[in-house]
Amino acid sequence: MSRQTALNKAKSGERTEIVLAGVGGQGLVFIGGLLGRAATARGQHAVQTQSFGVASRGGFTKSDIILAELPVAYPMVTEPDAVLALTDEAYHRYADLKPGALLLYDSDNVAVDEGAPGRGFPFTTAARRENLEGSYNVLALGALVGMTQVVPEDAIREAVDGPNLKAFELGLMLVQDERGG
Amino acid sequence: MPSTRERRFMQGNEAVLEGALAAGARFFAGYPITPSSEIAQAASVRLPALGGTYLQMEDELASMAAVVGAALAGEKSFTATSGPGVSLMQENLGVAIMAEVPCVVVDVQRSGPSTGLATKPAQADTMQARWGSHGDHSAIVLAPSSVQECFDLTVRAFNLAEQYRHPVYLLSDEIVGHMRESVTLPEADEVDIITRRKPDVDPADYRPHDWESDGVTPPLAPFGSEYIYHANSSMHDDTGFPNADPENARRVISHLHDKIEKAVDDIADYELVGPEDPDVIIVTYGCTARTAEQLVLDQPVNGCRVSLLVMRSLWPFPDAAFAEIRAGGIPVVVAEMNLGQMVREVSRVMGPDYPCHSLTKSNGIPISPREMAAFIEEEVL
Repeated sequence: MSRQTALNKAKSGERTEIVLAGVGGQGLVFIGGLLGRAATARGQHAVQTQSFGVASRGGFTKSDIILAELPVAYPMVTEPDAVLALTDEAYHRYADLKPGALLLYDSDNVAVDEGAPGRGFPFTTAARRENLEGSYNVLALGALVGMTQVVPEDAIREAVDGPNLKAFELGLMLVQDERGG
Repeated sequence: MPSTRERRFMQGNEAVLEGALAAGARFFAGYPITPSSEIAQAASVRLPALGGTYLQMEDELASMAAVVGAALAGEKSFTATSGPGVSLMQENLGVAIMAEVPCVVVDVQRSGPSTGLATKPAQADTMQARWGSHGDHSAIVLAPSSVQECFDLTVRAFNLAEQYRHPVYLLSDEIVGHMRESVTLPEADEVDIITRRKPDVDPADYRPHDWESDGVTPPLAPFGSEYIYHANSSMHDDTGFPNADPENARRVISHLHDKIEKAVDDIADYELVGPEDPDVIIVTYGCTARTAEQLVLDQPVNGCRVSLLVMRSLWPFPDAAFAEIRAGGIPVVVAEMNLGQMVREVSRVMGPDYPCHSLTKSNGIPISPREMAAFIEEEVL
């Protein structure tokens, strides 16, 4: 498909913008890649970009994912539909989202007052309890996919195995009462 | 090489490597530097598996020297680098220009000058890719704006290098290089490859720069074969040996320039997308083309019909692309992540009185669709 054809077919607004934010070393780019691969495997178009400082471990890091039925033009997130915030800094950077957008955060890492926006779950505690610290990122992805259904759960299951698969299921369980669908 | 037309979720830098392999490249020498390092990384795994060579050199000067040497030995060779590395490669890039050695240099642009705003995106090597190496010469520079184009234009870069016996730039940028997208790579037999012509004359009669009797691009014999010749960075005649005669110098310099500039219609690659009767045309390339595409999707923008001229080849500059626009008198906006490099060239073609606006940004942050729309509203309408 030429770019012109693709552009003629594509319509504005039909994109889901997701931000995965936290600190370098948490594996945000990795889970962004999982989302992108899962969407691609199901025939969607996905774009992932990332932003990190000179030190990739220890500083604020984010990965932007855009999912759409048709090719994506501008590859950066401008108005997120969903944000996964794994640190306090990440939470506060995205505390002011558009109405209806989801701010999902790790309540072990983020200190918020009562009534603060977003929905928190104890990702760190849950991962530690099951000895899945190494798959903490995939656990959080499970919660995000469970709540948003931005890609089918099975599409992620097909892309991971071992501890990552366990962690993904655990993330889904954690949010099962609020699971979208 | 990809064996199926499976859709993949792939990074721009990875697609560059896939394109290089598909084009037949089997030699990489480089010194890893963000945001290009994934190309070296993938090359270090894939090339040896295909019987090729990956060399991590001590610096970029040596890397470029090794790339030129490998090309002269008969390989399709390439390197990948960014900002400071490109600067260090200029000297040996000049050797490739002068000795007419086909090879590919991938520059995944980052912010400068020098080590700059490491490692944020920029498009500020636009003029360096044209004029970075000293002396009169031309340049072939391609600029991808998607992961798919990272593959397609890398293949083409190798083909153009062989076709014109010239080092070709793939001018990517941090956004395009690090971006991952859903792509469909062609199967190996769907990729058109230009294979290097080898001489069939008697070795005693071989003249490596005999473009006058054997077309623009004479055959290039691999070093180590029975063809023994001189690859010379100094002024030479068609044998490759030094020749300081002024008439010879004029002839050689004109050739190095003309072989590319006169082929601009063959090399030029651009596309006008959007409505046929736009109120404004955004001219851009690389990552910034994605911003303009968003406006084309979102229109009308502030009641204004927006088209996009996306340049996939930057040099030789495709003057003809602008002739039709000029005839229509439609205002143009040249958008780029630098302080205004390509706009000079567009202005030269359009003339001093033409409404040619320059939208620039040079702080490591891409031009957003909102900024582009605001610029059109404030400066153009």
